[in-house]
Amino acid sequence: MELLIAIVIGVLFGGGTYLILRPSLIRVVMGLALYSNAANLVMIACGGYSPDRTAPFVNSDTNSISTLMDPLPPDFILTAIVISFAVNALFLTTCYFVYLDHGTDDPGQLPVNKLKVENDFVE
Amino acid sequence: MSDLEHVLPAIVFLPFVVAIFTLLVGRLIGRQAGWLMVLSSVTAFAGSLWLFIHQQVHDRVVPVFTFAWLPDLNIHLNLRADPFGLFFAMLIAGIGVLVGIYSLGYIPRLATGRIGRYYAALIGFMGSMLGIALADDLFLLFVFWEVTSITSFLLIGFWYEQDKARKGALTALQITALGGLAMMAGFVLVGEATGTYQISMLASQEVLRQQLADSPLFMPALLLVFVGAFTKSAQVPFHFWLPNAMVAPTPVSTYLHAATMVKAGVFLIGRMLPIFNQSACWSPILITVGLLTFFVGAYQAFRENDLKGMLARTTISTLGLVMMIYGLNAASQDALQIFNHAAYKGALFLVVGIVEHATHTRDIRNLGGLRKKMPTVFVLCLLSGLSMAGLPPFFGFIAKEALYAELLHNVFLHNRPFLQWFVIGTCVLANAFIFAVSFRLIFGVFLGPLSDKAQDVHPPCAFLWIPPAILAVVTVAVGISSAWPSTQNLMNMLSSEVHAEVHVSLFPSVDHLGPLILSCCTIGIGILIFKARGVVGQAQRQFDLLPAMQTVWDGFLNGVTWFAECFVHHWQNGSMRWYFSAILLFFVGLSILAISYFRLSFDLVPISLSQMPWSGLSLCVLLVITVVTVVVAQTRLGAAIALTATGFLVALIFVVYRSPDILLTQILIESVSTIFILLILFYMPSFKKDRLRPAQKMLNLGISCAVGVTMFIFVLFATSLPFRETENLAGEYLSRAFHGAGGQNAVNVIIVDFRAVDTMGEITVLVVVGLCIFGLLRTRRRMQL
Repeated sequence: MELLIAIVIGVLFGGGTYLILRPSLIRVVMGLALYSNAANLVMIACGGYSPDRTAPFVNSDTNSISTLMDPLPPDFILTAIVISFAVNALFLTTCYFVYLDHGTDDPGQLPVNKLKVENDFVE
Repeated sequence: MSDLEHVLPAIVFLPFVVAIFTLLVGRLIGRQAGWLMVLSSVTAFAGSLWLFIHQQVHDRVVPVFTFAWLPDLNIHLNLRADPFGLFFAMLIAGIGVLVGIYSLGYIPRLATGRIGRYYAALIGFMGSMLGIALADDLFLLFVFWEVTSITSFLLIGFWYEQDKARKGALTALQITALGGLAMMAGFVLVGEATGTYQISMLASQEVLRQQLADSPLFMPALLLVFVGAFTKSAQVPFHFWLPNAMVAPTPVSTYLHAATMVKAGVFLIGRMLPIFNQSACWSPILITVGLLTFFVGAYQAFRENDLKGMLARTTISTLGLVMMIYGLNAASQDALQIFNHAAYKGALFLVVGIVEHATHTRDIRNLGGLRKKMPTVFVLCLLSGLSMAGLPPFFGFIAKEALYAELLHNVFLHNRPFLQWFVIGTCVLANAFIFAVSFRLIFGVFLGPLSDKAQDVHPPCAFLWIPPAILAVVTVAVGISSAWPSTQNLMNMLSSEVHAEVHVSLFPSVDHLGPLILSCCTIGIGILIFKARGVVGQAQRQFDLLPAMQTVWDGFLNGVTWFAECFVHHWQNGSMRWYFSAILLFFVGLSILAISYFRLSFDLVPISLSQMPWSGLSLCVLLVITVVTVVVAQTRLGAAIALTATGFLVALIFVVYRSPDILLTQILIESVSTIFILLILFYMPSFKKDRLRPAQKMLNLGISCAVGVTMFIFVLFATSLPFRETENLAGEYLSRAFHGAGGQNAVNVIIVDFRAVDTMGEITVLVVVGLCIFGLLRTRRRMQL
C-alpha cells in the first residue's frame, strides 16, 4: 500500500504543479485543491497502513488499544481539510473579482506594478 | 591598586554619560553645553595623567580592569592602561579640552538649534576614542571603533542641508565602516586561531603568537586588519574620504580628522605590531602603502587651493609616514611622530578655522595680507607652520631628524641599499613638498597685499585663539626642551615599544650629521618647489598621480545599485509562474541534496505488494485517471467534475485507512466545494487555448514531473523508514481519550478536548474567510448599484 499511495501522491502533486503553472487563475485554484488533497494523503500515509487494524474507537478493554489505528493523522487531516476549503473558497472569490475587474483570469495579462529601486544616495 | 582599576572605566564611560546628559539638556543650556565638553575632557585628561604618573612612580605597574561582558563568547570588557595607550588617551583628552574651548567661540555663530547634538556627538566621540586607546579586548576595540565611525558621520554631516556635507559624511561612513567590518573579520580569525581576544595576552605570550603564526588564518587576518587600519587612517587607495570630510565644522576637522580619529588606524597598527610583525608581509605592505601615501598626500596637498584640503592632504601624508615607520619596525618613535603631528596640525586647523570664520572663505587664492589684521593668529600660524616645515628649533624638526636617523640606520633597510636610498629619496621629496605647502600657507594667507575679502576682518575672540596658542607653545617647548635628556626619556616612555631609545638633538653633533644633511636637502628642495610654485602647479595640473579614487568609488556604488536593480527586476518580475517555479525547484533541489547528504538508499524501502488490498489498488488507479482528467480537461465543467471526483476518491482512500471521521468531513466539504466552484465558474470565462509556447509547456511538464517524483520518493522514505515511533504516542492518546476524557471516538476527543484551542482557531479561520467573502460580494454589489 505504501508504494501505491506514494505513486498517487506523486501524481497528485505533479498534476497540481502543472495546473498551478498554467496561465489561468481557475486552474491555479484547482491545482491548489489537488495539492491539499495530496498533502492530506501524505499525512495519512505517514500514519502507516496495516490491514488488521480497526478504526480508533476505544472501549474499556485495554488490550484492544494495540489493534486500533493511530488517531493522530486523521485528527490533523480533519483540521487541514476545513482550512483548505476556506482557503480555496477565498481564492475562488478573488479569482472572480480579478476577472470582473480586468476581464481576464490570466495572471500574465494583469497590470504589474514594476518595482523600482530608489537610487538617491549616489549622484 | 584597586582604586586605579576603577579609574579606567570611569575615564572611558564617563564621556558617554555626559554625552547623553548633553543631548537631554542641550536645548536648555544652549552654547554653554561646550563647558560640558571641556569638563569631561579635563576629567579624562586628569585621570589619564594621574594613571601615567602613578605608573611611572610605582614600578611601571599596568592597571587592568576586567569585567565579564560576554563570557560565553570569550569576550570581556577588558581595559588596560599601558604607557602607549595612556599617551593616546592623554592626546585625545588634551586636544578634546582645546577643541571644547574653541567650539565655544566657533559654534554659537553658526547654529543654535543643534548645539546639543553637536556636543553630544563630540563627547561621545571622545569617549569612544578613549575606549580605543585603553581597550584590551579586540571586540571591545571594534565596538569603540565603530562608534567613532558613527559619531564622525554625524559630525561631518553637521550641515546636513548641504549636499556636499551629506555626501562627504556618507563616503566617510561607508569607507570606515567597511574597513571596520573587515577588521572585525580579522579579529574573529585571530580569535579562532588562538582562542583569545585579549590584546595584551596575544602580544606578550610567545606560545599564542607562535600558534597564530602557524595557523592558516594568519595571512587573511593580517590583511583584514590592515584594511581596517588603512581605511581609518585614510591610506592610499582609501584616502579620498578625508578631503571630502572637510565639509565638517573646523573644530570637528581638527579633532577627528587631524588629531585623533584618523590616528586610530595608526594606533591599531601599533597595537598589532607585536602580534603580527613576524609575518613576512608586514614590512613590505606597510612600507609600500605608507611611503605611497606619504608622497601622494604631500604631492596633492601642494596642488590644493582649499586651506582645509591642503591640511587634510598633509595629514594623509603624515599618517602614511607613521605607517611606514611601523613597517620598518621602528615603533620606538611612533609617539614622537604622532604627538608632533597632532600639535602642529591641530594648531594649523584651528588657525584656518579662525581665518575662515573671519573672511568666510577657505580659498587661498582669495586670501592674503591678514598679518596686519590679526597679528596674534599670524604668529601662531608661523610657529606651527614652521614646525610643519621641519625647521629648527621646532618639534617638527626633531621628528624629521628622528625619521632620517631611523632611515639611515634601520636594520630592514640596511640589507637593501637600493630600497634604502629609494625610501630616503622619496621621503626627502615628500618632506620638501610639505615644506613648500607650509610656506605657501603662511605666505598665501598672512603675507602679501591685503585681499578684498579681508578688508573688514576683526581679531578673533579669546576662545578661538587660546587653543591654537597652547598647541603652538607645546610645539616650541618640546622642540627646545628636546636638548634635555628628560624630554627624550619621556618620549621614549610613551612609545608603544617598551625599551625605546630614540636620541634626537636640536644641536648637530658628529653622530647626527647624516640626518642633518638630509634635512638641509629637504629644506633646499622645499624652497626650490616653493619658489617655482607657478611651474610646479602647472605641471601638477597636467600630471595627476592617481586616478580620482572618488570617481572609482562612486562608480562602484552605482554598479552595486545597478546590479541590485537588475537583479530585483529579473528575480521579482511579478510573474506568478516564475515565483512558483523558483519555489518548487528550490524544494526539489533541497530534497536531492538531503537524500544525497543523508545517503538514503532505496534498500531501506520494503516494497511489498502482498499487503495491498484490492480496493486500494482500484481506488488508486481511478484517482490517477481523474487527476489526469483535471489536468487535460478542455472545458471548465469537465475539470470541475474531475476535481470533485478526485476529492471523493481521496475520501474513499480514507476508508481504506479506517478513518471514518475524515471520510465524513471530506465528503461534506467536497460537496460544498463543488457547489461553490460551479457557482463561480458560472460567472467565469470558459477555458481558452493556452497562450503558452510549446517550450514553456515542456518546461512546466518537466517541473511538474520533478515535483511529483520528489514527493513520491519523499513519501516512500517517510512511510518506510523507522521514523514512526508513534506507537506509544498513539497508545497514550487512545487510552487517555477513553479513561481521561471519557470518549470512545479518539479522533473526536483529540479535536475537541486535547486540541481544543487549535480547533477554535480553525473555526475562527472559517468565520474570517466567510466574512471576507461576504464583504467582498456586498461592496461589489453596492458599487454596481
